[in-house]
Amino acid sequence: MSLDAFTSVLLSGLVLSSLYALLASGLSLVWTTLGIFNFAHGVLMAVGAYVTWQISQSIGETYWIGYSIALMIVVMVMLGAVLEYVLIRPFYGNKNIVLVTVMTTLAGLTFLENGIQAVWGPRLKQLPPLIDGNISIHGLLTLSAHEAVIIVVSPLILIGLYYFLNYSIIGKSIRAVGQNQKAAKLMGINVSRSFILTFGLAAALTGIAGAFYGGLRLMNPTMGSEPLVKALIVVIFGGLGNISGTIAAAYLIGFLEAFLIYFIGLYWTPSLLFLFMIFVLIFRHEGLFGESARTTT
Amino acid sequence: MTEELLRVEGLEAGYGAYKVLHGVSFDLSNGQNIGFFGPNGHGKTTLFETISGLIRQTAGKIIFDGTDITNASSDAIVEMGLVHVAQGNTLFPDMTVMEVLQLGAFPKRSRQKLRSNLDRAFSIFPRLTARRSSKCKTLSGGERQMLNLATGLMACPRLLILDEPTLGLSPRLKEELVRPISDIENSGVSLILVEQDLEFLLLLVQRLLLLNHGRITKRIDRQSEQVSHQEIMEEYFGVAVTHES
Ligand SMILES: Nc1ncnc2c1ncn2[C@@H]1O[C@H](COP(=O)(O)OP(=O)(O)O)[C@@H](O)[C@H]1O
Ligand SMILES: [Mg+2]
Repeated sequence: MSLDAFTSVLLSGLVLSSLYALLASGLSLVWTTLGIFNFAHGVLMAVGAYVTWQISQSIGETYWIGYSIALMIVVMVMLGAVLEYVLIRPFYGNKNIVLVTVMTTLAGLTFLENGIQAVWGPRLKQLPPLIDGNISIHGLLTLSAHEAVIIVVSPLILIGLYYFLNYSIIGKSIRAVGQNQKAAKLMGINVSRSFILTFGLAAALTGIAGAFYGGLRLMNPTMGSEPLVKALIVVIFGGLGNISGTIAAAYLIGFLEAFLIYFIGLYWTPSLLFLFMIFVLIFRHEGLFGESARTTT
Repeated sequence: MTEELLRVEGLEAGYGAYKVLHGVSFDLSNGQNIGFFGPNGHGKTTLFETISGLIRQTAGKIIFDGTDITNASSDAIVEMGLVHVAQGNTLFPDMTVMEVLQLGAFPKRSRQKLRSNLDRAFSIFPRLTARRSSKCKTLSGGERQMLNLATGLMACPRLLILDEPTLGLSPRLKEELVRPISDIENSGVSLILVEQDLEFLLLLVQRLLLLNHGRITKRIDRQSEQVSHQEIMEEYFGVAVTHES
């Protein structure tokens, strides 16, 4: 493999990893805090991209796309809150909440996918890049400035998320709710508010991934379904309930995927990723970076 | 004149169709302490989880500091200063002692006092100082119970409910808890102490209520009546108990 090919695989790996990390950290956050898997998580990526497109059309394309993304984040937080309220909230206290919410979030997925189709039509759209032009380093590797922004900004967002969860009182209260709801209530934490906040945060992270992606490839209503599967692999692989593990796993899977695509092609890559995950889980039940599985409840 | 802090009237509650509390009434003045005892499974925990808003009552009324909190949410109740340290609370397994204490000060009324309350917590429970960066799941039973009490104090309680703080602790560790709890009493916080261990209870409170099958069947005020330990034991077990040792 030539140096040229190597660096370009590395770069596409970094871009993939960044998007997976944004997507998977939201999925993981929802799982840790609410104890459910949100199957509508992937379509939120498409919603984020389309909403950004709509906003940029409304305010005028002369404005930098970053403004539209900022407004989109606000919309996504609200949408996340609504989804929690409609799809999850009615089932708290239900013994089968995990199964019931598989159904309700799948329902949310189809509604949103059809909604996108109905509102924005099937015509393919693309977002403008965050920054125009290309970056070339010593003539060795060339990447678009948009990709460079994705590679740099995504980790910054994730570091921000990490600090929020670990060092702010609201972030700590979200983690507390995930670990022991009753104890959290007795400390005066409003559990439903934490759930809404978590969902809003996850939707915003995914929306950002969508807007990044929309500047890279053509958008379509199902653009989030394959990334959702990858994010699911990443979350399980990184160890359930462990945000830093999720982020690490996102980068590992992203690189692995980029190299697999280079060596064996697009066709077999997803199957091999699954095989790899199963193989790892056979030897490490708690995922690659997870601590030993919970022993009680 | 003593000012009323908590009044519970005809409280009924349970789990679905299974009724546990059949009309519980009692009250507590500011600065006063009471102890609850009674056999296992007779509704003590249910009573206090209803008072702190974790379980909805099916009948009756709860008044705290003049405000009707019967239908208030648990976080609003904590915010008012009614703090419940739950029985056998395992807290947050993956958080450090320090983080749990900081979360104890989550209510707005206590956030400004975070620093001074932390100092107080560590001075009442010096053992926690060395464990401040340890995760909860690595604590021993005694340490976890101390952290539970300390976390309750972080919220600046006006009324602190301690549900079986000595559950599962060795006699020596139980003894270690007497001092801190009486310190809490002396600091002006009203206390409701739930205990199976009558000896422990009698060291700390003067007024005792016996909860039996979801009803208060006996009220003992040791200040006005000279009731001996022996008599309470007889009442409790229904038979004369001879003291050995
Ligand atoms: N979560 C629950 N669901 C159903 N029944 C419960 C639950 N918790 C307690 N109980 C029942 O309620 C009764 C009272 O229990 P509890 O309030 O814990 O008593 P105590 O604290 O006095 O030991 C018991 O019969 C117990 O089995
Ligand atoms: Mg109990």
